[in-house]
Order: sequence, then C-alpha cells, then structure tokens
Amino acid sequence: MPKDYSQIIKAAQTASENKKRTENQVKPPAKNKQKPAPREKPVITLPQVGKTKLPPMGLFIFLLVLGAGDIFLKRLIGYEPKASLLISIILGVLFFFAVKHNPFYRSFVIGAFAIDVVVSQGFLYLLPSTSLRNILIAIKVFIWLALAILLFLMEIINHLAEGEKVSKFSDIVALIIIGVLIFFFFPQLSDVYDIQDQSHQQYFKIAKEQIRKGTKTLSETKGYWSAYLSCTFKSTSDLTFDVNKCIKSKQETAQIKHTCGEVQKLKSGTVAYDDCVTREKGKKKRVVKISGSSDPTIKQPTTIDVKIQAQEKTIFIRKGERNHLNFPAELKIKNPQKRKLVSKVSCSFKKNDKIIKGKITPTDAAQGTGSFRSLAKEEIEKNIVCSPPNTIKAGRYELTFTTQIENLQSRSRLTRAFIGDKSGEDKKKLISKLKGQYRDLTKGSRSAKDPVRIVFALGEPPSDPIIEKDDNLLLRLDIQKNVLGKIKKIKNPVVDLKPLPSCLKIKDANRLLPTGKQSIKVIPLESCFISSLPVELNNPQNFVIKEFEASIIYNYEIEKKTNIKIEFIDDIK
Amino acid sequence: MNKNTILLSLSLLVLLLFIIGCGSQSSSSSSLTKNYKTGYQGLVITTLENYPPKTIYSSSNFVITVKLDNQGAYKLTNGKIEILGFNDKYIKLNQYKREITSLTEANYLEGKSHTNPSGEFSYADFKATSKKLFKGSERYNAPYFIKGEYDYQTELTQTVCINSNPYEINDAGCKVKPKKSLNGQGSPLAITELEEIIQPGTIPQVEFRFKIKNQGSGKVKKVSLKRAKLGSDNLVCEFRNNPSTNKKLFIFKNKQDVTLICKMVISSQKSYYTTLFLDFGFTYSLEVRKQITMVK
Repeated sequence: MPKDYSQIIKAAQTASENKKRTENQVKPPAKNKQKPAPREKPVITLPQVGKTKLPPMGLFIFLLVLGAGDIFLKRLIGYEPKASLLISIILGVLFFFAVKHNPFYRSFVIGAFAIDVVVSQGFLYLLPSTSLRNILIAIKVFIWLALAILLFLMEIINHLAEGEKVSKFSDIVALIIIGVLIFFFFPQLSDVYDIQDQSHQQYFKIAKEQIRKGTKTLSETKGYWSAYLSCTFKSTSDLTFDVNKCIKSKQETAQIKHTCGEVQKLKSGTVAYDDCVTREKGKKKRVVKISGSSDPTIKQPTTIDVKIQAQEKTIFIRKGERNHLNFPAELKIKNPQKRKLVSKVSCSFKKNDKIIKGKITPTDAAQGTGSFRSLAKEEIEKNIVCSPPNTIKAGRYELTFTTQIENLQSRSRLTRAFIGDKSGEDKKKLISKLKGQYRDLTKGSRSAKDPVRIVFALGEPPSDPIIEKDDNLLLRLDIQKNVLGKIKKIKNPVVDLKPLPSCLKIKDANRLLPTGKQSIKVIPLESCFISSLPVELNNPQNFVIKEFEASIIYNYEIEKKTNIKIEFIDDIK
Repeated sequence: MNKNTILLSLSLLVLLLFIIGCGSQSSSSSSLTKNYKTGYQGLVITTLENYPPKTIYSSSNFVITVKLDNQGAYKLTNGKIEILGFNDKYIKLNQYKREITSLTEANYLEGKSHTNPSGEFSYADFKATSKKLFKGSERYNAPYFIKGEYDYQTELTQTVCINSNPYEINDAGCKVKPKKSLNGQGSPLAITELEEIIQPGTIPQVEFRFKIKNQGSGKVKKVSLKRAKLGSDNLVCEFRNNPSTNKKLFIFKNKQDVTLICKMVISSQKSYYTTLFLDFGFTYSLEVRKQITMVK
C-alpha cells in the first residue's frame, strides 16, 4: 500500500540535520586550516518498496480495451473451446507482463487465468445445465474485463495515493460513472455484436442474462432483501407460508408506493395517493394471465372451412361466356353441438387496391336464409358458387370467400377444490393429494378447440385451483381466439358458479371487441370479486370438488383466399 | 404268516394310528396357541369387484360396495365410512357417510382371534347416479376417496426382568435386556421399541420407554393410555413432549410417532421376571384412492 513519503522525507531530513549537528559537535576544529572540501549535498535514500515507478494509466486503459476485446473476439468465434483457450493464454500473458511490476496484481492475473481456463473450462463441460453452470459461464465471459476494471480502479487509487497530479474528486466521480455505465449498459451495448452460429454461442446470452438479472433486481425490486428476510422469518412460524408469494406481494406493494410516491409525487395518506394505489393495484391484477387449455375428452371441436375448388389457377374463358365464369367452393362446418347456425357467404375479386364484389349463388347462402339458416346438423356441407360481374377484365385477381357463421357457442369448464381452514403439513399434503388425483385442477379452464373459446379462472389469485376459507375470490373472464378470423358479435356471456353468487355485470360485451386489431387473441371480458362463499364450501370438513361452467354465443367470420388469373379467348366465329 | 407276525403288524398299525392321531391333535392345539396380536394390520378397505364397474354410462345408476375387513387383532368400534371427492356435477350419491356395522348389524367388527382367525368383515353400499357428461365430452374420469375412521386398540404384553441391583454378581437371577425391538401388536399403531432403564440406589426405579409409531397407511388422530401395569402394580406414565394437560392423552399432528415414558419404584431387592402390560385406545383414519370412468 502507498506510504506517506512526505513524512519519510521529513524524517530523513531531520536525521541528516542531526547528523550534521553531531559531526559539528564531536569533530574538533582542524588545527591546520586546509581548504575545505566542497560540501556534498545530503543524499536521502528512501526505502525501495512502493517506490517503483508507477506505470502510466494508459496501460490500464489498454487492459480495459483488451478485456472488452476478449468478449468481442470470443463471441465472434462462438466460444469455440480451442480458440477461446488461445485467446485466454494470449490475454493472460499480456496482462501478466502489464502488471509484472506488482506481485499483488500478478496474483490477480494468475487467479483470473486459472478461473477462466481451469475452473470454468473444466467444470463447464462436466456440469449439467444448472444455475451454477450459468454463473460459471457469466464469470468466464466477463472475467478479463472485470479484472481490467479492477486493476484500473486499483491503479487509479495507487496513483492518487502516490500523490500523482490528479483531481481526486473528479477522477473518483468519473470512475464511478464509468463503472456504473459499464455495469448497467454493457449487456445492451453488446447487442451490436453479430450473432454467430458457432458451438457455444449461447454462452454470451446466458452471461448477459445473469448480468441483466442482477441489474434488474437492483433497479426494480426495491427493498427486496428486507422483503426476503421478513417473509423468510414469517415462514419459520408457519410451514404453509408461501415465501415467494409473500416476497412478490411485498415487492408489488413497494413498486406501487414508488410509482405513487416518488414518480407521481403524491403524498401518502391523501385521497389522490390512495386513488393511485387502487389504480395501480387494479393494473397489476389485470395483467395477470389466465390460462385455458384444450379439453382432451372433447374429440370433435367446431370447425369452419371453405374449400375453393378452383383447380386451375388460370381460367380461360370465351369473351361471350363471361356470365359462365363461376368459382365454386364448398362450405364445411362441423357442428358437434348441433346448434342452429346461420351462414352468410360473400366473395370478392381484388386487383391491386380495387375490390370487385362477386355474386354468391344460391342467394340463400349470401343472405343466410333458406337452407343456410338453422343449420342444425352435426356435419354441414354446402356448395356455393361465386361469379364475378360481367364487367370483369382479364388479369390476376385475389379471390376471397368471406363466411360469417352466426350463433356459434363456446363452452368451458373449470375445476376448483375447496379445502376450508387447513394448515401446516395437513394442508400441504391435502393440496398435493388433490393436485395428484384431480388432474383437471391444474389445467385451468378447459374447452374444445373451437375457433373462439371462453376462458375463465376463479380463485386467489384466479389461477390458484385451491380455494381456502375466507379467500377473496376473483373471477376472470376472457375470450380467446384460436384461429385467424374475426369475432363479429358476442352475446350472453354466462358463468354458472352455483352455489357461489355471481358477480358478472356485463351489459354489452360487444363494446369490448377490438374494432381494428383483429390480431388480438385475448379479449378480457370481466373481472369481479365473489362476495361470499356458502358455508359448505367456505369450511368443509374434508374438501369439496366443484366444477363451474361458462359459455358464450358468438358470430365468427373467416376469409379464404386464392390467387386466380382470368384470360379471355376469342369467341368461335 | 404266523401269529407273532400278525400281532406285530397289528401293533404297528395301532401305533401308526396313534401317532397320526397325536399329530393332528398337536396341530389343532398350535392354532389355538397362535398369537394374533402381531403385525400392523387394522381395517382393510376395498371395493367389491364390479361394484362399481370400472366404466359407467352417463345417466345411469350404480352401486359402490365397500368391503370393510378387520384384519387387526382388536375390536373395531365407532366406525364410519365416507365417500369423498366426487364432482357432484357428474356423480351424485344417495348417501355419503355411513356407520360401520357388522353383517349382523352390530356396531362393531371383531378382530382376528382364536374364535375368528380371519377377522370379521362387513359391507357398506352406496347407491349412486351418474349424470350427463359435459357437452361434447366423450368421457369423464371421476376420482374419489373412500375414507374410514374408527376407534381401535393396541395391547402389549411382555415378560421383563426387573433387577434393582444390576451389578450384584451373587444374584443369579434374570438379566435386564436394555433394548428390545418389537414387531407390532396386531394394530396399525404399534409399540416398535421398548427400553428398560434401571436406576439403582436407595430407592431403585425402573423406567420403560416405549416408542409408539403409526405403521399403517392411515393416520392416528389421538391416542390414550388406558392401562399400564408391571405385574399387578400400575406404572406412572406420560407421553414425551405432550402439550396436553392430560398426560395420558396424546394428540398426533404431523409426526406419527411418540414416546411413552413409564416409571415405577422397585420394591424387591432381588431380580425377578414379571409381566409388563400396556393398553392403548386410539382413533384411526385411512383413505383409499379410487377412480371410475364415465362414458357416453
């Protein structure tokens, strides 16, 4: 460590003066006055330790560049083991010679080299894909840069300690800024590197993810450790206490406080602050996803298909027979629920941006009347023909059949277990037993693979299939669109929660439909709290399994497109 | 063939008959002396083959017949049998809970004994109706549990050596066996280990430590010590780490074992063999997982 050389110099000077004084006192005056020898200046010899000439800071900046270059190069070669080893050896040698003046630094370089080559390289191929392996990868990827930063910081401190001319405050601030910038923004900066398809390309991603995780925890989860400690402490007295849930809840509360207090600058205890907290809580609840799954016991879902029977892509027709230009198609509907469906079909020919409406025959198909109304069969097959107007010109067109089916229904069911007031190991065992025996509990709401599905969840949180005594039950109701198509109308969203009271208050579900963005696959319908549980479900002696049902009626539209080319040939004269 | 040969042959035949007769008599006496109070069996719950059938049709009636077989060595009392976990949207039972009664309508089931070597069994019927399947669904797997709860008993009879002066070399009496492992007493709650500790001194004392453990697949709710005797004298006993004020009652929670410590002052200076007798009563519950499949 640096010495206080000014003191040493002072001490040496004092010693020299004393020596002179002693010499003056002890030595008798010379009898024969000779010409005195020229007086030598006192020579001060300082201890050599720490007095070695400090290397320029440029060398350490060069090491920083090398550290960054290591990441760049290794990423470029995709962490190919042999080439990586060669780079590591070269780096090790360069670092070693750069810091050879300082044995302390040398030990760092040897340590880093050992970690990079021996520990990481050796262990990485032995370890399975675990978090420990990921940490090792992160260390391996960043070790030389980290070492360069460390040496740079230490050398700066050394320079400052040696009394080199640097503005202390400004340099330290500059270093902190550089350090923070590298720490927080390095993963983002690194995105500019090209992606290589080499053997260990994933290393960088893993390492970057590790760093991101760390920075995310630091920046987003304020008070994580206090929440962690508090929740862990609570869990010691209650075996069933869910530590993760507790930490998540505490973090959410902290985030809401941060948003309302620090971001929106609202004062705690004010009405505005409380409103903000309620609003933010609501936002968090809305973003919770609920899952729906396909019911494996329903083999036949509702399907709608239009098969355009234009075998030839180029249609040759005599000019005089334009009115015979027909494009037949087959409408196939599988209607396992035997619902009374109404089908309306239309067609069009599109050339560039111009759309020419076609004519559908039979006309009942276009209007949804006659045999296209009350289609209550399990399998419906209807032939339809689209004819362009007589004015159509030769050329390439995009032929589109648009089919709207009305009165379709989606039904789904949800299983929940009511366990009442259980605690400790009993509760754990019961939950594990129920989840093991009742597989439907863990699947969310189940429905056929229909074009549109109603998805719902109930619980605290809604995704939790186990309902305990006095749980605040939240009902979530969504619509999920399975295939590309448009929901044109929705009617009667119903959730049968008997014997639970219902909380649905949807008056007009159609206003919830997206107007333009038909690519949206999930449409939230309603979220509401169940006011109370009947006694037999709130606190059963053992447990009760209940299944709830939801249904919705909807109109759905699909489009089927094909490219055709119309060519006219001369009439036979 | 002379007379002597005939006489010898007849004598051998009589002797043979005698031996056979004695042999059969000795085997019947061994069945009488068989100890039924071993092992860990209690109530065995099964369903009768085809009741219910593995597959049932929707909108139909069926019966779940539960066979209740007391395979332990004690009388089963206060028994209740319950069907749990049916989703009432698909399967409805007329009755979910019944008391366990014998075939003769007695409210108990005898355990295995000399008079009833295979134990007593009984049946409990639960009439059920299947409802409609979910629209479009082709089948429904209906898991359910059969839960039995009953009062049962465990008795331990052991011959032990009491020697208040274990270091006395002149006493040629019995030798105390400090630890003994036991193989069950014909009940799911078993005394698995017995430790005997002699505390010599002016007032010598014997301490017995019994490890009591649930060895069955069910759960013990509470156990109460009814009797604890050494010879004709009562032992002073208490369950270890017992939060209850009643020292002879222990309520089981997660851990299904407990240690009972019994003590007594030894009055005799000489060693002797005597009988150690313990009698516990406990409430036991067990569940059996079952499943039926409902089809269209």
